[in-house]
Amino acid sequence: MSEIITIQVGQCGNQIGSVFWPLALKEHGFGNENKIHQKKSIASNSLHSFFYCPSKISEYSTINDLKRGNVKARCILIDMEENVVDRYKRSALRDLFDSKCLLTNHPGSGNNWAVGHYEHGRDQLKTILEMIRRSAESSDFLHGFKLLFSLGGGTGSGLGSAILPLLEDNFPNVDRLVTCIHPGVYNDVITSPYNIALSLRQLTEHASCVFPVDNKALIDICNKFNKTKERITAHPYRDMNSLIVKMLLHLTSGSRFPGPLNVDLNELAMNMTPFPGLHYLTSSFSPLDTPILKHSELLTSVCSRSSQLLRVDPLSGTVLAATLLCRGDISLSSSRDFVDRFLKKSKLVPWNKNGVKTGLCSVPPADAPRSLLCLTNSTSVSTLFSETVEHFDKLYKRKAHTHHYLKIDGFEAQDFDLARNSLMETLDKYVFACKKVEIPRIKLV
Amino acid sequence: MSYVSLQFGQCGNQLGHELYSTISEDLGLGLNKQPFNDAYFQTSRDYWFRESTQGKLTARAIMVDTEKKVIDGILSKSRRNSLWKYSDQNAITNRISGGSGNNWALGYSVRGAEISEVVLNCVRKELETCDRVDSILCLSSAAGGTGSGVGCFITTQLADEFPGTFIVNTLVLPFESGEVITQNYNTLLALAKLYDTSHGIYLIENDELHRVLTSELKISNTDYNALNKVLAEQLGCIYQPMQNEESPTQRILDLFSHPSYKLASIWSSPHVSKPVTAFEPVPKWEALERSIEKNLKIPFDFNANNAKDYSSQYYRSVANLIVCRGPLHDDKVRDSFLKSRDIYPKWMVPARQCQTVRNERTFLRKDKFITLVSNSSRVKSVLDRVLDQSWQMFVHKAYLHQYSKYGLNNEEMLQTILKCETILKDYKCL
Repeated sequence: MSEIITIQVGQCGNQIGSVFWPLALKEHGFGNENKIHQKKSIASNSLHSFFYCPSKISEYSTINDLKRGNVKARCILIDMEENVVDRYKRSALRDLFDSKCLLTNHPGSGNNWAVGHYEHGRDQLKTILEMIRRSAESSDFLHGFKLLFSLGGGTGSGLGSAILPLLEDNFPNVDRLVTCIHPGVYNDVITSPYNIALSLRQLTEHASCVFPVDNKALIDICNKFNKTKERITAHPYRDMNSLIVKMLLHLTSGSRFPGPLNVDLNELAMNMTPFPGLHYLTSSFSPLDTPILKHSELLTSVCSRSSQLLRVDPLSGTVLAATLLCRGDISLSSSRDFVDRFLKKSKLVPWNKNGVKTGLCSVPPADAPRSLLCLTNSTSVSTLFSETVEHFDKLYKRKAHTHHYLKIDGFEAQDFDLARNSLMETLDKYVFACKKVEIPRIKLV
Repeated sequence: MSYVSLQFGQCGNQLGHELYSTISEDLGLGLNKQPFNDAYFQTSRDYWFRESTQGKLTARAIMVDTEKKVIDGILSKSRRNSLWKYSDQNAITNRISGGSGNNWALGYSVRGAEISEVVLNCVRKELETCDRVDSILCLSSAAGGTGSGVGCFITTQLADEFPGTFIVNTLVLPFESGEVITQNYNTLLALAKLYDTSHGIYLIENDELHRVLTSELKISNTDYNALNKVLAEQLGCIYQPMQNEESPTQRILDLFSHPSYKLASIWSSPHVSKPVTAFEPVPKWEALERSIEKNLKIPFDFNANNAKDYSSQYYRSVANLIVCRGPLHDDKVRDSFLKSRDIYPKWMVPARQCQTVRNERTFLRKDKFITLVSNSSRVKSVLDRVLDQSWQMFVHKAYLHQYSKYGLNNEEMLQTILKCETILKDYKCL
């Protein structure tokens, strides 16, 4: 029943959003085909998690009813160009977005983190805070902010990471969950190592939980399932983005729908971050494409490296904590079985030998009778940081492109060093987390 | 005489709902003719329910949660139920911001304080509807934030506010692995707090309930409802009326007679599925008693020097209570083995060591049902396990920052661990 405000920043964030909202509507029982979805009552009762509904939900039965009823998505769309956000204004769902929650501006950030963070930050943060505040005031049980942006570009990474401290100051008790898209090997922006390093520092300091996703991993998954090459080239980003969206819908299912073992959003941050700053979670879910999988295949599939949304193998490293979220007709016994098998497959830190959290949600996703999401906090994710440091150093050794950043008002030379230090610190923390401390238990006589 | 129950968090509320459903099933509510419209029926109805204005029975229960979903689900189930219901006024959720996020400190210091005034008012009103109050039953899990955190805070407040009332907590321990990652910290924090305020704690292990379902009832596909059902039957068996009895709490008092020993475990027998009972003879009482006594037997250890006397084969107990429900037929009545054995500390009066109470009326239409409530050193193993895992986390400083965010510093966590080590030591030295 909790409510979640989505904040989409930059081109990438808004493109994911454009896939997210139709699927979210479908999951809550409002499909495109204007007919009433089965099992609608439970699913649609939770509509207010993502949408502000002025009157009773039972009065709506189609998308047109929603439009007429002034239902608005709890969403804030921010881009420093007009292209993508303009597409929302023309889309079939345009009436579901409050025009007061759209923010565009000229010119873009030119793939420069400093422009997004400092220049646009200075000009726009006040407006953005106002928008967030308005949206927060219209919700009764605000549980989380869900931020979507890419790490490589300028607007998403720069402005997106400037919003985080803003949320932290103004809504200290509401979790900030960030889904950030790493360009992976498809690095079409020369300065992206800078952008990634600078935003990772902000994410480490100000986010509650980060779900990094990697373009290369997404493409690999898409290629695996779309044997016909035509399909993938036709809508490459849509297919990839729908993977992220399915993950997000699954992630939030526990706090939206009822189930025998609920997992609220704030439980995730609590269970998954044993030490401050180590909140980077790899995610994998199943089924990816084939809709019907047997119970036992679900776990095998989420544990395999090929279904990870980040190009790392979490189970090859030491697992600090893990969460298994089940949706649909998965019984307690199956989930017990999942936990046992997961513990056998993975290497957990000695101080958290049983570190698995489970959740059971009874409402299945729109396209499958059951599904499983596995979130892992593993030391394998440190490759993300070591690679970033490596790429960063290549540029920074020659001070390449730094002048673009330094000329921006507010950005200082030490920001580069601070960002690099933060990356190194996180790497150290992962090493430290696995160090064994031997202090015997207190003996009472 | 009545009980007022408080249900905390998802586990507590689901368990409570199952408990009241079990009682209503035992009373035969909804059967065409009321076959049991007798003293037992009257007494039990007064124990658990009050008559509401529309004539529908209302559970003397208060539902507390920091999140709406579970309570909303139960309320809508209870509205469809024609036999009994929950009072809408007794459903209390946190209006401002929800969830305790599996964090005992958040539940105890923040959510508990936010919600306690409303809850206490509600308890006061509910107590006023009772002619006499026997005890307050608190149901919650130990793992999460709401059950353990808010549950502890409210229990403490209840003890201050209603000092003469007997308060018993049912604390459900999570599965050893895979429920909540911070469950061991939460369990210790809850235990340490409740040890100061509650009169007695039933320590229930989910692993044990699951074992009953899978190995005794042979159900391969279980859910949480089935788990709660087993526990609800056990609690029902303990708390339903006996013949000619002043106050049901009398029989429980002896279990919790020493302030250092407040933990009790529950076992029951037989657990057989309905189709099986049709073909199997009803076991003798003696056999049933033996089967539950087995739970107090120390597992045979080939390495240890096993002396042949009884006392070293069985866990030491502070006191035991055996509740038998069902007709005697021509079974011989004999004293329980547990009575004659030398497993009790010297300071316990012999007459109080092991009590057996019987009611010849069948419980839930089972021919025979027997429940053992035992305050014994068997809890050593589970306490030891929880302490061990918490200690590992504590020395690595894992998750401590999550607790200090809500004002629980490392020193307090250490004190909590020490307190639980003391509890464990006391049971070891029993």
